[in-house]
Amino acid sequence: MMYPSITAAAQGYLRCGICETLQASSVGARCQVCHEPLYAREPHSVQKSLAYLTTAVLLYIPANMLPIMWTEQFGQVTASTIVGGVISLWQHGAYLVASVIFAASVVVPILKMLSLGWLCWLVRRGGVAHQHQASSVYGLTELIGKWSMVDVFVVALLAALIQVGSILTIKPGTAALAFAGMVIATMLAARSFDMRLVWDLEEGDQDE
Amino acid sequence: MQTACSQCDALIQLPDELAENTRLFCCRCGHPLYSRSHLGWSEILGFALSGFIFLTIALTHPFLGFSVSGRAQSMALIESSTTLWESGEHVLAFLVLIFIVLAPLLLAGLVVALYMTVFARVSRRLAVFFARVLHELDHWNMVEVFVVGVLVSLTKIAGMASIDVGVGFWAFIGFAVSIWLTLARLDRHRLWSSIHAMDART
Repeated sequence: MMYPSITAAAQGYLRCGICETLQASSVGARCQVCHEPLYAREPHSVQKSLAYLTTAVLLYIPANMLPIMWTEQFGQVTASTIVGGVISLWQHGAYLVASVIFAASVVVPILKMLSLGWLCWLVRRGGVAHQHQASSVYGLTELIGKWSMVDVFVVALLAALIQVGSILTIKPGTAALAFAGMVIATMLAARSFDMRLVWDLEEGDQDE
Repeated sequence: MQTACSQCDALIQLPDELAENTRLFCCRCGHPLYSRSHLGWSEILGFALSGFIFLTIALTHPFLGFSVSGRAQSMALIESSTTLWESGEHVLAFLVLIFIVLAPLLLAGLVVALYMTVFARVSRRLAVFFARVLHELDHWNMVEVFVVGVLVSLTKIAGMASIDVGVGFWAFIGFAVSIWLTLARLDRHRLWSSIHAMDART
């Protein structure tokens, strides 16, 4: 594997993934500080990332199809899905909350899965890449990763707070677990992906 | 001293002395490399300890209350997990407990434990173990997400009932801020250098 000449890997240095210490060792040797095995690039990073990504995509289906919450009001039980909840909030005039929920549970997960898929595809395809663009996409994916969990917390809070017998009771639905699993899987996918693989490709935007 | 950028692996020569409150960025990709805070260990330790105090208050005082049709109801922080457990969502209950209580609590505990092991030079092996757990656990602390979750829930039910915000809620906000300050200001670079400087035989 050829690394760009500016990189530590090209000049015989390896950076520990845990403690970030730079050392002139060979691949597979242990870090002097934390005893973690050293690699130039995370081994099988794209495969791991794709595996978590597939899990996330599969979990996203039940997360949207199944009810996330059951509401029992005066003996009448209604189920609500994620999108259904957003629509009913919007109809009640809570535009800001509807937008927050819509962004956190629909837009962000889809964008996250698409951008991670795109990054994996870039590395698999090889050739020229727009690194700065890819870096911003990856940075954003890492930053917003855990914020999608808002919806799960809302369900947990409403279920705990609203327990007034038959007048009004809220129970969590199966979709909440699927959704939490999806968020965890995308977070793991982002963490497994080694951004250095994209920077090892031929630089597409020299003069940015 | 040399370092390599975590994002693009560019080999970079760091200046020997860094002024306080400086941030360094990678010259190849612009990724933040290192930031030197003016806060020392004692401040970080203070944030971690105030986190414990805030969490104790948050767990022992009413979190939120609400009343509808003359019937009042109040919840404790821990019930956001235990109610899920009672509804049969055992895995979800455990996850929520990890994200909002266990992970941040353990992180604050690890900071205190690291302070003690590194400064009292107790055991290098133990310090490495604590620092590694801290590194892995860092991403699973979601207190700030939970605070936003509370605000969203309140707006959701504000129309159908009257809401009381309890002492526990305000303490939880204090807990979120303390944990955030602890983790954001902890200089991991200096932490690992101090561990590296410890006697390998301990």
